[in-house]
Amino acid sequence: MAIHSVVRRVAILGALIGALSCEHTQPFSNPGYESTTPLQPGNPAQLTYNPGADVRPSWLPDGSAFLYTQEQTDITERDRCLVVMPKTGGGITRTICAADDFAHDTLNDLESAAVNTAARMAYVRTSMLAGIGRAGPDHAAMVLGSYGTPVPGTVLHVLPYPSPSGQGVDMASDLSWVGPSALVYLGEQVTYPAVCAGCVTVDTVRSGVEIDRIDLNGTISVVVDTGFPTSASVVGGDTLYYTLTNSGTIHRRILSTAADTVVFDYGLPATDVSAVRGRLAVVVLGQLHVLSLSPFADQTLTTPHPGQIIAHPALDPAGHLIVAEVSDSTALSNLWLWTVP
Amino acid sequence: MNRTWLVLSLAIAAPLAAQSTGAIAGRVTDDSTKHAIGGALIWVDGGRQGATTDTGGAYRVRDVRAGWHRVRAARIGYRSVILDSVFVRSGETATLDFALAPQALTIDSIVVRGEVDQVLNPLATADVQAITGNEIRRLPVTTVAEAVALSAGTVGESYRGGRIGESAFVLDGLGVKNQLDASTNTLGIQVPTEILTEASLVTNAFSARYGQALSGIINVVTRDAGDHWSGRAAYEGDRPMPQADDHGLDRAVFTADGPLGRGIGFVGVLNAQGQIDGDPVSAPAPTDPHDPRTAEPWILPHNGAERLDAAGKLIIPVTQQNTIRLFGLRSAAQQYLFDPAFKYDETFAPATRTVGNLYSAHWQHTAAPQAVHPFGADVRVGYFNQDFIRGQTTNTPGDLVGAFSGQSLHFLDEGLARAKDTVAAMNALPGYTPPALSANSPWGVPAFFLSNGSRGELAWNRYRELRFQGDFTLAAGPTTDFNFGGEFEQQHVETFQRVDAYVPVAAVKDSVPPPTASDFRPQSAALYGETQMQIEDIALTIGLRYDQFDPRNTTVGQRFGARRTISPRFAMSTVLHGATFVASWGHFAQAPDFQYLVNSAFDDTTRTGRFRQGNPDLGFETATQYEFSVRGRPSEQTSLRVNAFVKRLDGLVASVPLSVNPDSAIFGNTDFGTVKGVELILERELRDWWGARISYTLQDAQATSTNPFLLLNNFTIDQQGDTIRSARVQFPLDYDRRHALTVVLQARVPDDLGPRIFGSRVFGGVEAAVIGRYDSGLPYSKTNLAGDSILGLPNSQRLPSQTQIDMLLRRSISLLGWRGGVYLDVRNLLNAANIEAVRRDVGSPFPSSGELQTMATNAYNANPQPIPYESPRYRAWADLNHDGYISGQAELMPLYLAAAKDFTQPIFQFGPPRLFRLGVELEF
Repeated sequence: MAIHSVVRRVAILGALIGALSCEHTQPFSNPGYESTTPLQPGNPAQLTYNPGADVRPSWLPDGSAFLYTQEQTDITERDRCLVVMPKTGGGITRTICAADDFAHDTLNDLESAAVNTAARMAYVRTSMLAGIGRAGPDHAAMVLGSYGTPVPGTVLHVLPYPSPSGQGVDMASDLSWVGPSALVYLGEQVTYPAVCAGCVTVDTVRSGVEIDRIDLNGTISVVVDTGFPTSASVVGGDTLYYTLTNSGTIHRRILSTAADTVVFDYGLPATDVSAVRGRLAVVVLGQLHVLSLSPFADQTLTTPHPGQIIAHPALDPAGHLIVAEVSDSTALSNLWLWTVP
Repeated sequence: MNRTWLVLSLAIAAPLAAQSTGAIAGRVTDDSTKHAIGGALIWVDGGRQGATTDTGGAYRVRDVRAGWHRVRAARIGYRSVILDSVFVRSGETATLDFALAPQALTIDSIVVRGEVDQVLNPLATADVQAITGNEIRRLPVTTVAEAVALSAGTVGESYRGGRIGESAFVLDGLGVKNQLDASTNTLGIQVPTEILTEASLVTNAFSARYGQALSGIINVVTRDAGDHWSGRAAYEGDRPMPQADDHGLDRAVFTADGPLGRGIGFVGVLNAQGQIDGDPVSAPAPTDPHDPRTAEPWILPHNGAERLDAAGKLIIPVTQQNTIRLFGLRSAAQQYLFDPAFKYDETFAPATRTVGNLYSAHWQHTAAPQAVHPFGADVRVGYFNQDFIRGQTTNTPGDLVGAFSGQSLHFLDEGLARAKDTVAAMNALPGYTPPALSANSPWGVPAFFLSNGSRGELAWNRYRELRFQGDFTLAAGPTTDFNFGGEFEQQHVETFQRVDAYVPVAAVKDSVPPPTASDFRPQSAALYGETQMQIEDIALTIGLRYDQFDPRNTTVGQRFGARRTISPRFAMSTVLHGATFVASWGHFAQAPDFQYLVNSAFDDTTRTGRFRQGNPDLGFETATQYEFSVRGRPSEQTSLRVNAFVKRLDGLVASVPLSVNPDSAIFGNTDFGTVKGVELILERELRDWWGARISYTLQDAQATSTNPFLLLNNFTIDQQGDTIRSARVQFPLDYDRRHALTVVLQARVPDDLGPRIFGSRVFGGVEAAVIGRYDSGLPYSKTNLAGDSILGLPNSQRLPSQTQIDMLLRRSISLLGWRGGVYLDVRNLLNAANIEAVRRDVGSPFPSSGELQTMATNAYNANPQPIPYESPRYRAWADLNHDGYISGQAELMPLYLAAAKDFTQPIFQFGPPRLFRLGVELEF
């Protein structure tokens, strides 16, 4: 039989196959169960109901979602993991935990995450072997990973460390990217005072001592070492906003020139600041304020319930959404979302 | 008799013959005087082979290739006779007697259709159940394994009650065996049925030429090329079927054969298959409205499978008596493996890939027709390898057609496994992350289902073998043959295994077995001699085989040298009162799986340890079998065969405890047992539109251990709840199927029958085949509720019996001058929900309500914490008071209970459902 005849007949068979090529039935797939809205609508709206602590939110550079540290109440050592929640609220979409606790005998904490536009992700990791009589972590470090693969990451610098200023820095928080290869953060000292006289139980008290910069090669330099800073937030890679202990002043420092100005003074202690271009979210005596710089205006936002305290606000890149910790007398915080016109 | 329509024949084998060839023998007589004619020439296929009759008129043509042949008998002064379409089966002697009429003048031959009575031939001493390639196409079977499974005494790939792996595969006379892990893995190659002349199962008295098997030889003969180009292209699948009957099957086959010039022939086959659900089951669908499968079709996720088999063969005639055959086969199969724990997080579920290659060269020398002392020789060289891996994949190939991607799966840290780097593997393997309790199940609660990481299993092995084989036949006369030969195999075993790969071995003391690896090169060799002689109506077969293997395994720093064994075999047959009586006795030996020579880590549900020490000093596993067989013809169209056999097994590998710690167990040649059985096979040849074959097997198979991993003398609990150490008693083997009944019916509607529609008789020429099976239940062991102790003796319980009906309808079509056909192949026509396994604690596929409650309660107690609204575990429908928390027993327990029920939903406890294959084929 001639080849062309064979080819022709095979082609006809192919046509027959094509005629039969209706789609196959597919196996079931996970429909997805997470909600994409808060349980109760409102402004503010409660985002999280975790019985444990939800702390230190920070936005992704594109503003689509934010990260925060969630205390895992469903495992014995109550690890604190980074989780991702969409900007609309609802269910968390991703959980990032330390991956090398094979024996499940270590309390691990990932917090103060900062993601830049190149999807690099820096965060602070601490770990503590579970056991009686331990207060501080056994290991702590600033870690660099990627948003896609954040753990285990590489250690940028071990904590604690002796600062070039001569002070000891035990912990770091409020990590912000300044350019593609450096971070600015709040250097803290940590004390563990007894909760009461004669108590075994101790509290953990973190106090800002300075604002430092670290390059990705591990070099540390001091940015602010006066006034005991309490928070730090970088805008645009060169502008640092920060607050000081027992002070209502909001400071702005141009990193390239070291020029420092006071943007506003609330007259009452301002403890946290989060900045985007032209707008700041500030916590003043537990109250959440929005400070617009141009035109200049200050707005006090509603506290969900009287007596609750707001902390660690995170203003989204567009400047319209604020996620912040809200805690009451239990000291366990949940996150709430404010929408700002 | 229309042999094309012969159903499974009761083949009559001459064990002397090479298993890819048969023989033709008989007598030539004067039609008028009935005197023997000496010096008559017998030519096969135009004279390539042949023989000359002796003074008694007897002749024998040896080494005739299995398949259809044309045989001519001629003598000066007589009118020659040609028997057309003589089918010779491998390993058989076809008896052809010629009666020549005296004729003074030379005139044309008489051409008649060859008739070979396979039943009453006394030269047959082996139990051979054969099926031809053409017959396979006309039955609802697809693979060689399915075809062989129609044979009496077969349970899956277990033959006559033996364990898996007690068989050997012979392809065109070349032995092929996965000596590494035949008892737990596949051969790695699959011969497309489209290239077959025939496949057969030999279960007794097989030739001394063959070793490496205790229970059966699967003998496959591939076809040679035709004298003109022809081919076939076919597609079959279940795409057009409704959702419930669409399991995502696509299969395409292309085959072609023909001459390449200078007498060289070529045969090629390509078989490609994809299945979205590689192991469809007839398990009942869940009933919970929150289970996504209540609204979706019952098809398993992450269970897709695909395979590609390509085979080619060159037939190169060198001279009239010398032929070289080159054969190559490559099979690649891969499958995602459904794991209930990863039902909702498929990314981390395991997968497996097996690639097998077989390349062989065969030089065949046949005797010249006029040879006084015909001598035949078959010299073969074969290379076989199998490469297996199982673990976590790193890629997800896109589908090309259905589930067929045509691309290879890749596995995490495959390179490390291939390097057998046990030092690096002491660390957590790169890329592996520990699994966590999934939040993606419909129930949300942290229980049973896993995500974020795989189980951390990485297993790889490779087996390679270079085999040299020589088989020689020397005729001492028309009624006596002498066969001798031998083989040598250079083997290479490489293994690697790591479990819990996400954990450094030293991280959690004593809970993670260290990685295991091996690399050694065993050598095996055999010699045999065998003779068959016929004295009047008595045929005798006497053979002796010598086997040895040397593991040459230095893994434990010590070599134990070669193991040796002698296997005599004897068979006698005769014809008494129209029936053939056969008695046989044989000793068989096979080297143990080489996997038992090295350490093994595994999961064991009865907690008899997770580690076995390899034993490089293992010896042969042996069997001794004797059998009596009677066959005859109750009528011209029917045949009946009765086999009664006793097979004593000894030295089978089992696990032997060295201390009370089950992880201290070592493999040893300690198991023994007995298989007794009776097989009845009744056949009616296909005549007058229909034919039938009925086979029944009554069997009793017992031994002291059911598989190599089962601890001998394991602790058991008696009916009073006391812990006892069982005695060394025998109990049913895993494949001890007491009763098995298989009925094969075939029919063909005559072309001129039925109503004429548009000028064509629609039903004329329709072929139908139905296979019905009834199988009594296989044994299983019952355990206590904790699952850590066997109640009573192992395998003292029985599964329910199984029934299944398969059907094939085929209609040839001729359109625009082209020939082809359409067919409908339906397996499990009645959609019977056959139970193939049960939970060993309750004896049912379903867990008891008490067990579900216990599972749910334990899971709840482990994680009683509330589930907040933002958690991916939160399910709004379970938050009864809508406070943003699923909390407390009232809200959480229903979820844990539903999760337990979902997790324990029986799946592979049930057999395949009704499966459709709609096929279309074109011949050219």
